[in-house]
Amino acid sequence: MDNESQNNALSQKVSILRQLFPKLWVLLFSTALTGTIWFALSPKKAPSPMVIEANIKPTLFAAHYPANTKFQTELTQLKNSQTLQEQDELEIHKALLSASEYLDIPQSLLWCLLFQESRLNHLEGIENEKASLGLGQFSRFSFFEINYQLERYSSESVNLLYLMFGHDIRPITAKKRDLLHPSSYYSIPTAVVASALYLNNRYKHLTRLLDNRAISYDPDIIWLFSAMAYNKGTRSVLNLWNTYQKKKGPEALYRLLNDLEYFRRFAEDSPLMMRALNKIWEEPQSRAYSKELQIHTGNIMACAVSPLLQPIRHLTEVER
Amino acid sequence: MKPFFTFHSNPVRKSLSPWKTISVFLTFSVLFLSYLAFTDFKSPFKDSSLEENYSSLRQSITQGGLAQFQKDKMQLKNQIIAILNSPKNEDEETKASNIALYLFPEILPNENFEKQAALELWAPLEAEIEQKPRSAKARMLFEELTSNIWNYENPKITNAGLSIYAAETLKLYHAISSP
Repeated sequence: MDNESQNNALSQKVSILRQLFPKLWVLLFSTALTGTIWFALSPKKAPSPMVIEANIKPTLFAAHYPANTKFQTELTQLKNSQTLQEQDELEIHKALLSASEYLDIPQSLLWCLLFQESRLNHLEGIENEKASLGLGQFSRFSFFEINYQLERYSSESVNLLYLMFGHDIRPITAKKRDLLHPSSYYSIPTAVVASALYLNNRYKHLTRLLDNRAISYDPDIIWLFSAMAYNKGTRSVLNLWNTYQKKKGPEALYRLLNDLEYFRRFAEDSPLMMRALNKIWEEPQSRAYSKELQIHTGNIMACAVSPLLQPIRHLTEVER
Repeated sequence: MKPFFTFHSNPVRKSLSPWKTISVFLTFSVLFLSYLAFTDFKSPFKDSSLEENYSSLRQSITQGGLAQFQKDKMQLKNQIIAILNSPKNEDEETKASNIALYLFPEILPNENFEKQAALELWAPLEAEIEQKPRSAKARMLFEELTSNIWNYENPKITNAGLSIYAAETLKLYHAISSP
C-alpha cells in the first residue's frame, strides 16, 4: 500500500511536470527571442562619454563677435555715425562667412583682424594713397603674393576665387577709379577674400614648418600666431618661437603651441617680445614694432576669443 | 694787504705732488686693465668687420664681377661658420645668424625655425640669380625675391622698414640681376 501510494504520488508529480514542461519551454524560447531582438536592435558600440569629450574639442573662438566691450562700443559708434554703412557691413559679413567656411578660418578671428586693421573701412587709405590699403591693409607685396604666388601654400586656395566670383579675378589691385570692379581691392568681397587668403597662407606656412619638425599644436593657437604674422610677418613669429624655446626649453614651447593660458602669458611678456624682435631690427624699430605687435595681439584676442576663456579685464579694457 | 692766492700756501696744490699723481694714475690703470682681463670686452671693430665684409660684397660684384663675388662670399661664409661654432657673445651670434639667414641658411642649426623658411623662400631664388646674372630671368626672380623677403618680415611699408640684413641682401641681388 505504501509503495502504491508512493507510486501514485510520483506519477502525479510527473504528470504535473509534463503539464508544466511545454509552458517552461515557451517561457525559455520567448526569453531567448526577446534577448536576440534586444541585442540586434541595440547600437553595436555605445560611445563612452570620455571618447566624446576627447574627440569634440570646443573651439577657442567666440561664436558672437566682437567679444570685448571696447570694440562693441566702437562698432556701434561707427554704425551710428554712418561711417560704417549697414549694406557694407552685411556685404563684409556675407563674404566673410563664405571665405572662412571654405578656408576653415575661425570667423571671429577674420572679422576681428579686419576690424583691427581698418575698422571695416574698405576705402581706408584711398585719399592719401597710403602704402597699406583697404579692409586688410594690403601692401604691394601682399598683392604680389595673392596675384602670383597664391598656390605656394595650398593648391586649393584658387578655388575660392571661382567659388566666390565664378572666375579667377586676379590680378587684384587697388583700382581707385573702378571701386566695384571684382579685381579691385576696394570692392568688399574681393578685399575680404584676398585678406582671408593672405591670412590662410600665414597659417599654412607656420603649420608646415611645425609639421616638418613633427611638433604637435592646437590649430586655434596657430591661428592666433597667424594673425600676429599677418601684422608683423612670419619672421617675428619664428623669432619669438626661437627665443621662447632657447629661454624656456622645448617642453615650454610645446605648451605655448597648445595652451591658451601659455599663449596669453607669452603675449603679455614685453621683455621677451622686445628681445625677440631686437634680433631682427635695430633698437628704436624693434621697440616700436614689439609694442605694436603686443597691442595688435591683445586686441585680436580680446575681440575673437570666447568670453568664457578670457579674463574680465581683457573684455573690458583694450588699447588701440 | 694779504694776497688772495699764493702758490705755496695752496693746500690742494700741496696735496697733488707729482709722485702722488703718478701713483693715482697707475692705480686706476691697473684697475682698468684687470677689469678688461676678467670681463668680456666687446670690440666694436670685430662686429663691424663682419658687417663690412657683408656690405663689401656689393663692391665685389660691381668691381670684380661674379667670380670675385663668389670668392668673397665663400670667405664670409667661413667667417660666419667660425663665429656660429664659437660665438664670443650674443650680439656677435645674432649678427652672424642674420647674415647666414639671408645668404647661407644651410649653415644655421636645425632647431632654428627660420632655417626651413629661408631654404624655401629665397635660397633657391638667389642661387638661380647667381647662375643667370644680369638677365631678364634674373630680374623676374629678383622681383619674386623682393616680395618673399618683404612678406616674410612684413614691417611698415617704408624704406627704413626692413631689417638692415634684409635690405642689404636685396641691394646685393639687385646689383647681380640688373643689366
